[in-house]
Amino acid sequence: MRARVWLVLVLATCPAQAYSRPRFQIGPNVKQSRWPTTVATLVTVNVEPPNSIVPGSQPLAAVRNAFEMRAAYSAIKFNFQPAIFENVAHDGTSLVTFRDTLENRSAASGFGAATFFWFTISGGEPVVTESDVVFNPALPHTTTGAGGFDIENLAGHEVTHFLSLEHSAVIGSTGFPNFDAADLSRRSLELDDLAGTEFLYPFVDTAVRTGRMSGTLLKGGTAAVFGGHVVALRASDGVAVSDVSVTGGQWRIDALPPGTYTVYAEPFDGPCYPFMVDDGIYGSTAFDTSFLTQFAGGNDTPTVYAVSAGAETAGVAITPPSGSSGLNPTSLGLSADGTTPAFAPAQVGVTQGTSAFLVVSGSGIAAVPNNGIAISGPGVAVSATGIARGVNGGTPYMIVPVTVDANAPPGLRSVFADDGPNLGVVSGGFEVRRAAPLPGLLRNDAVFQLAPTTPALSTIFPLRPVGADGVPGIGEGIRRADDGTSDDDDFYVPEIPSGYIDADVGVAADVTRPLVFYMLSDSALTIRIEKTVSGRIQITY
Amino acid sequence: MHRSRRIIVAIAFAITASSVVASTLLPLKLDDLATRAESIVVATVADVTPRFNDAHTLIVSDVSLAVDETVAGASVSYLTVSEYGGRVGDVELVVPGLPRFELGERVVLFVCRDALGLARTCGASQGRLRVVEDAGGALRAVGMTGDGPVDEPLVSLKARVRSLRAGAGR
Repeated sequence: MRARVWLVLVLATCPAQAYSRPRFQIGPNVKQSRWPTTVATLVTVNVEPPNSIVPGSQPLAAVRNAFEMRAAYSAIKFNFQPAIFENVAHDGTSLVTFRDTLENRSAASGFGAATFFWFTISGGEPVVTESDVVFNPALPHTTTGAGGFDIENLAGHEVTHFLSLEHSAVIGSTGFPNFDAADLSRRSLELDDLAGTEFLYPFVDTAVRTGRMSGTLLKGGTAAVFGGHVVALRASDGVAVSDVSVTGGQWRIDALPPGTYTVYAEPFDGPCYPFMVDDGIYGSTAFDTSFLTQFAGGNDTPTVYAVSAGAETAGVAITPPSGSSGLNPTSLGLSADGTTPAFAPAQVGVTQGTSAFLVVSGSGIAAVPNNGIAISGPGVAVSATGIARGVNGGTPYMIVPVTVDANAPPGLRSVFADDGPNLGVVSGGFEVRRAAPLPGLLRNDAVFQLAPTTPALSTIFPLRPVGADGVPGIGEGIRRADDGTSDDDDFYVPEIPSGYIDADVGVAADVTRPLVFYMLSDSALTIRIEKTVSGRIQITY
Repeated sequence: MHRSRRIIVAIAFAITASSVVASTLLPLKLDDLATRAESIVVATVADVTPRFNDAHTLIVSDVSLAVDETVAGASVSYLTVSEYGGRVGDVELVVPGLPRFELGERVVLFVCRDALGLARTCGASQGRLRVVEDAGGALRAVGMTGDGPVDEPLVSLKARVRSLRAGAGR
């Protein structure tokens, strides 16, 4: 493996996600639209017939899960009520509707589900006033796993828009516009989805608990790039968050967990294209795709930047050369036999402790040497032998054996192709999947939010301040000690400052988040939460 | 990653053979678009007028197009499609995934009727391909359908569309 690819492998660990901040030109200023958070947002849900819900489904629970997931990680909160309206309309009430009417069929035409969000200008800020989600009544929707589109999966994506976030630019995030209907990963959120949500709806301590990076994207060091995809990659665990450069080539990534990062920029030339993330929110200025993929500091020696809690790491300059290299990986897939190519609509997933044949396709791939493919992050080995090559529909591809360690951190990784002078990347296209699903309490169909009816854990458990950097956040805290059993899950939380357990990832979260657990949607079940003398929180159901 | 129009065209065809693209946007492949469309035109956006619909429930933007060429369907000089979204006064409606048109923009447009009888872009943004000039001055159609990215000579695209439509007996 050549030095550059190796460096990328070490530094650019990137189960990448991206979120697109909604921006609107308000006079001379560009502003982000968002919901007010002084009161909980009322969501009404209409599941009354006629509709196309598969019998036996639990649409209310599925919809609520998708919303509660966002509420768990941001300051926005929701109240749910049965709907009095049936159609998507500007009526002052946010609605999720399955109702089969001509109006809804018109509104959802072309979509599995669609979101209509309204905003107005208040105090110089674009404020969301209403958001309606319509599930296409011409299509079957289900929570039973068969016979239709999975409601929670679709809702997970649509809530992205409900919040006024735009499509994400990196494959694999919940906000990315394309995905395989059989891939239910949009039921859960990736870190970038979380960061985007928290950016728009910050906790009271977000500004002091997270950091920010900002800088410029300038071709040749002078020409501002409008519409470049800028990705920050956390070195420690490969988590990535991204932004789109705007006027002056300026970019800024908020709500970053403290840590060290590398940053690269890539043009929107596939697999994500400008029209996939820009529904007019960037105005009429065309995205500039005439620059090469490049890390800040250069591809041979990417600069590592420290991001501290409550601080901004500013002045990060990305200065790629102008032009096009001709190296452009745009599609990934998994080959069943190592010789026959296959292509996925979004990310590919390989389970911990297994091997697979990764297909990398796109222009210039034929010139990439056998050791020129790398997958970011620890625990994934890419073989330089046993490579198969070919051309499909005029596009070259190579098939490379990959092995995922049993302990490889799960998440979305980026796939890099290096032909020597140039680098190409498919951001977030390779997902390391857990060998064993999280225990049932953490991975069932329904999310049940105990807060706010349940008191904050801090009022139940006198938990001690965290050590280390003192700022538990996404991905930080004390990891779950073991996977528990089928009937209980244990969390060691001896050093949470106060508050909550992030049951989704099994780590300590921050004080302001509600407690969210995945649990069976059987109302006969009860949950008991107890603190043991050792400081362990025992959850039994 | 770097754009190569020639190769992207090839990718579009490659994906056609193998993809199972799905999303909240229901994938419509080019043959679906070609056969479902009421009309298919090459046109230039002459006007975009947002307004509340007759029921005053949603904002729609009426997009008037000067038709340069009718690829399929009844031959017309002007055409209007309506898409949800737009700004009226201080109120704006955004619908991610629906096409938004710019004045002067030249497009290949696949027009369908929705449940209310509105003339819409088929398959949301999939039915709008932008027409751009390449470095040599040749016109290309660029966009994304259920097949994947499209970036091919306009002449070639029109021929394919006509062929697909003829093959379907339309």
